[in-house]
Amino acid sequence: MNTPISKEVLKFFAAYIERELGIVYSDANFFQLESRLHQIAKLMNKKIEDVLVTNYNQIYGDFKKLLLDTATNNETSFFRDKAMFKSLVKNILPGLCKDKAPGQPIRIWSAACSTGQEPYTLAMALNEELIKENIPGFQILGTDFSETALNRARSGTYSQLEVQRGLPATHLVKYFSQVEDKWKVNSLLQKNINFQAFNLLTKWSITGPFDLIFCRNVLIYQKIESRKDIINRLYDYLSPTGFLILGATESMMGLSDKFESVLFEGAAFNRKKSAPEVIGKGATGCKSA
Amino acid sequence: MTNLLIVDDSKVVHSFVKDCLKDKNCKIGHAYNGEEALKILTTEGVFDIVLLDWEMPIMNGLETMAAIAKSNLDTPVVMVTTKNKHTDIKQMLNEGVREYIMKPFTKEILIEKIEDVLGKPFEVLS
Repeated sequence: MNTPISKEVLKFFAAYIERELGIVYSDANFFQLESRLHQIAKLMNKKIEDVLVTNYNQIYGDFKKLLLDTATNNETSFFRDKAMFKSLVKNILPGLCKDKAPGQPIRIWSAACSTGQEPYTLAMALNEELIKENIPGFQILGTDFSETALNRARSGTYSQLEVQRGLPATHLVKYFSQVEDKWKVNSLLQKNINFQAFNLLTKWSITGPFDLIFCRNVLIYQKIESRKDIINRLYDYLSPTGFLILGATESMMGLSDKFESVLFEGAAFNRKKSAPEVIGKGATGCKSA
Repeated sequence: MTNLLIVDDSKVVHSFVKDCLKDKNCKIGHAYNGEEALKILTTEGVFDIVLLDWEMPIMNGLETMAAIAKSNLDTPVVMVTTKNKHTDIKQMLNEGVREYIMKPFTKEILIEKIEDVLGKPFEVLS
């Protein structure tokens, strides 16, 4: 049985995670933090007491990296929310392409890409359109706070279970090769994706604007002030005709009045209120944020 | 309601699938080899989807798939198998299989793959 960690100590580490990542651990979730601290001690091959004492005053080095990595929820899968991807290809891409000068690629930012399933899903979906000559080309930026997750994303290597979740068999054989008991994304997909370490709460060192920004299931873990701040900054990084995509259960309600949400076949896409109507036409229903 | 046919020589698989779908509005037919499956498919009316094992006695999954295609039955087939090599998956897709599930599998993956192929979610029993 693991040595219990006092509430005071858990509060200290929870406050640190909140300052660094904006992720809020409520008292009810302290058991998760406690379990993660024990996991870290095991990974570092040290006693939990030693790890806590060493890092109680100054959090640094391997412990800092592991603490912040394990604090993030890396839950993801290929084609997560299939209806949204289907609608994106059918309803959003054609309009975005109309706005592009010849040869100008569609720029996409996957703002919390975790282990890479979202950017690779986008690359597969867009590559299918590229083959049909429906789009001019595309560039995807995948960012995440966790270096561990990003290293997996860069490797493009997934377990059998990971490729079973969401990925159609046709795409598996088309875009992946088998390396021992794992599946590796083909270089064809990787060439259009750049992965970069990035913290949504600190200064942003990337170059916009983007035609599509995916920031799904990130804001739910943040405080309201951080949510507003991130949404406002995403607004500045979105092209005038671009779309911001949040998680299926997330909304702009109470966060920003500069966006409007447009529904295409049940999938919600957020565009600037100032955006021209070019892409909005054909929406089955509109609602204001 | 979804009409589903399980074709597998393992009774454990039949029982697991039945348990996974117990709260869904789903009628399940059972066959234990390809020959039985073909007989059921051609005589017992229309199924919405078939879950087909590859390695079975009398008539294996690929032979069954070929016979299904030859009989002009357009019921979509999901291969449920321990085979997971790139060439295996390519071969089953070439034979007309719509999707595949690798054994062992979870309830979530089973439901996700069936719903993907059907293009709609299961109706839930009230």
